[in-house]
Amino acid sequence: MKNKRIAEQCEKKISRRDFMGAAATMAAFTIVPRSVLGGAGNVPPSEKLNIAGIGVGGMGGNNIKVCESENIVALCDVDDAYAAEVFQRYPNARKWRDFRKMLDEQKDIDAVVIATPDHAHAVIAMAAMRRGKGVYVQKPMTRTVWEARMLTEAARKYKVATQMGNQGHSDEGVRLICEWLWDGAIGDVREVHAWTNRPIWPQGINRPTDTPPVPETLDWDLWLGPAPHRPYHPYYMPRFWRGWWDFGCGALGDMACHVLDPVFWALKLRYPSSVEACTAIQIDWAPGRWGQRRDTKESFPSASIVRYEFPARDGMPPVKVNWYDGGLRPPRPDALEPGRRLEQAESNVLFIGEKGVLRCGEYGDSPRLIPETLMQEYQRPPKTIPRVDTSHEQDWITACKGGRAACSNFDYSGPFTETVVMGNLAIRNLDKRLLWDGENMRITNDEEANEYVKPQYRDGWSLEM
Amino acid sequence: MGKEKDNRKSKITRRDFIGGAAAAMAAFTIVPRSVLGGAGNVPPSEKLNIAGIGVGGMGANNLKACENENIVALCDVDDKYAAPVFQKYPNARKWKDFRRMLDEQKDIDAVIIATPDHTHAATALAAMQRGKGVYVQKPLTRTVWEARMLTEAARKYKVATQMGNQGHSSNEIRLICEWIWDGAIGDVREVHCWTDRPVWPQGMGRPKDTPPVPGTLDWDLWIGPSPQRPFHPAYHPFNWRAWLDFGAGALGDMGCHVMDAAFWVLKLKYPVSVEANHSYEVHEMWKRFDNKETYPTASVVHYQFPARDGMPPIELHWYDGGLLPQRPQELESGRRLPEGGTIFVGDKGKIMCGSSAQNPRIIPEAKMKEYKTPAQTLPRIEKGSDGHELDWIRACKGGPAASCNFDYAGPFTETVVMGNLAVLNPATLLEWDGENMRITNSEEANAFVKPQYREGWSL
Repeated sequence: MKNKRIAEQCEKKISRRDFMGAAATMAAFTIVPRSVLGGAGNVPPSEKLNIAGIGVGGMGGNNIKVCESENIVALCDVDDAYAAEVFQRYPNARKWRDFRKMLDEQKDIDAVVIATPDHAHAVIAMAAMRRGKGVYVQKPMTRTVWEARMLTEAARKYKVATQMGNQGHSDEGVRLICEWLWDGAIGDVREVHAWTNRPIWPQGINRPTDTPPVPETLDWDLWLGPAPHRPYHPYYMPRFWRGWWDFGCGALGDMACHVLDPVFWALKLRYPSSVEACTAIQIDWAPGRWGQRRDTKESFPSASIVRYEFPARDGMPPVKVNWYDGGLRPPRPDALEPGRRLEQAESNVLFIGEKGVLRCGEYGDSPRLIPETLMQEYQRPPKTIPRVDTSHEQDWITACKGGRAACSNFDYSGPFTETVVMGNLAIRNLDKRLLWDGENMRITNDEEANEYVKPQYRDGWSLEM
Repeated sequence: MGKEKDNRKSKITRRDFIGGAAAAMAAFTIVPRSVLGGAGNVPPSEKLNIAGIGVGGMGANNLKACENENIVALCDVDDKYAAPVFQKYPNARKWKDFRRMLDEQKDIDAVIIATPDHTHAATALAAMQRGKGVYVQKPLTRTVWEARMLTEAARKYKVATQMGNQGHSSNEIRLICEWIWDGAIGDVREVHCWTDRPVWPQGMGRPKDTPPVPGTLDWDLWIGPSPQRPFHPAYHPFNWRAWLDFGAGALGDMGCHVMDAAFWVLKLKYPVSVEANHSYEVHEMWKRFDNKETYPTASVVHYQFPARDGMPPIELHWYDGGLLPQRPQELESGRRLPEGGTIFVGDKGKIMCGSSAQNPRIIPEAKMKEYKTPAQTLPRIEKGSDGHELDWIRACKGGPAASCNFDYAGPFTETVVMGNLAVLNPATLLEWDGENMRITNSEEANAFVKPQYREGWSL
């Protein structure tokens, strides 16, 4: 698991660029000549980073666009067709299918933006960090608890700049929420409700049995990466992978790293003490399968409620955090004025405080105290948390160049992701109050519920640090 | 409703009223009878003549429990579905149309109605108008207004009534009453009720194919008062509960069992408000399936009841389709929630029971063991829930009103099925004027209070 040689490099404070040395001549697309300065893997602020995108056909294309101030030197995607538009946008970037080859062969890369399906996040981010590259990883950082822990530890070990792609963490709203709650705007918070309109892709479905041919533009084996092999089907990629246990994390994985972000930060959460869930039963209505229960061990259920309990911490009382997806949501808060409707956002959070309620949208945006009289009367505290005045991606670029750590670096987003995706342990083990030993990543009262803490990688894949 | 002559007022019994000629038709009546006692009542010493309407499903079980009486008529719109029951009672006259049966077979004293929900009201009313006792499967009706009509009709025609929520006759539901009235868990302000139903598909669209109507089925009669639509096995025989036009979803199927203990012990009547949310189906990216045909696959309904009779206001939370309340801290690790049930949350403790009030326990079990149970104060029904039909038969014969007669079952059903108003209008707090059967803060939410009957059908 340890890559001793690289670890030593870091300890000796030899920069990654020095280490890579001669390989720099391969960097045909590097426009700005650079001299090596500063700490390991850091590029001086005056210089441009060489950025590679891995998984660029979807959200990765957006992230890279925000990084255009730097050099986009490489693009990697297992599907030429899905990536075609982004490939064309950056004609000078070298194109790859296999991130492993890219990282081995293209030595000029300083940092990578990873926006593949969830099941491939960990192995890719680890491979990049081991080579001293800064990593921007789309949310959720990983699909499982153990993978998040590994990446968190790797980030510390390799001292690279990291950022999870929960871009709301760079915005004003989440900072206001922290400042207001810490100011006591609604008193102690013992209950939180968060909900999302996800999944907006099919869930609660059976594994398809037909085996359409793999599109020629797609390397299906690479798409599968560390996940167990199965035949290609358009029900997995490019768009529906979030619904499948082997590839995604359901609605929770998609959105909770956004929606619960202000909760995690403002309430200073870490690991829950327990979690339980209930989910919609899936009864098939397809001809031939009418009335049969669908297998939710393959695909996440179409709707869930996940109930986390967190212990008292840092002067704050214990808090229950309730997550709802698939159309489910909490009842109206009592504090909401009669006749007033809650804002109709795709996702929402209600902090239930002893003196009032704080409501915000899915990125911690648009925070309001409820009732409105409380909001109107509220004397806002001074802004004490540093703001990100660029963008989430640029915040990370600054870190890659030796600036302050990015706001959602893995020291924050690692434990946060662990807490988010451990909710899926409860979805897989219904009608149980699972007690969680977060430090040791273990359900302590149900051995079999631990099965999903750590994924089984396919032969040839590992998370070697 | 009552164009028909109210024969009770003149103290002429139904049997007298129905008169001679029709009685001659009663070829299967075994025991000769003389007329005694109150309107429509058969003396306890005599056997009732019972008709089953809708006998292919649950009706068969109800009839079985009535076999000490005369099963004189069986009515079902589907010969094939009803065949085993038809064969079981060779002497019973067989019918397809309950209207013809009630008009033509005059020896019937009482009917057991176990059709799909959408025909309960029209069938029960027709029977009551003719002075017959009625046992109606739960939910009493599919909509609020129909339940009200049946409740009023039962009073008007003074017939023996019973809703088929057999748990209401159980010993266990009485134990819960006695314990909670004894203060076993203090004041109750919160109740959680759940079921694992639907165990049939919900959340889908209307089928587009139109398979032929089976030769054994009178589809038009099956549709009854509901709007006409082509036959499909997605509706009959088992799957009708899912469809707004025919059933009342999981709430309708199980609410009248699961919420019964709470309704009785907490002396509930109408909620002041209700709010629901439910799951959605997604078949295509970014497209929620717009379903106005069936109930959703999973729902949570929150009812708010006002203070009443010395008891504080309560919130009753309903969960179906796999959704559950949070496990109480008091519940021992490893102890499962029943597949349906209720948790009463009192200020001094909690009681959990199963979907028909069975196995009530204070939790944790250690507290149950400590509890000194109070003396039995409520009369028990012989054979408990297995005696639910017999309880009604006694009432038909002039005994005390059946345990779940419509004076109780009517308002109870109104409250259960009004939850569907919220399911159909999710994420909105609907304020309810129970007496007047009106949502007061959303006109459109009233659309489902009263069904639109097809031409030729009325209540």
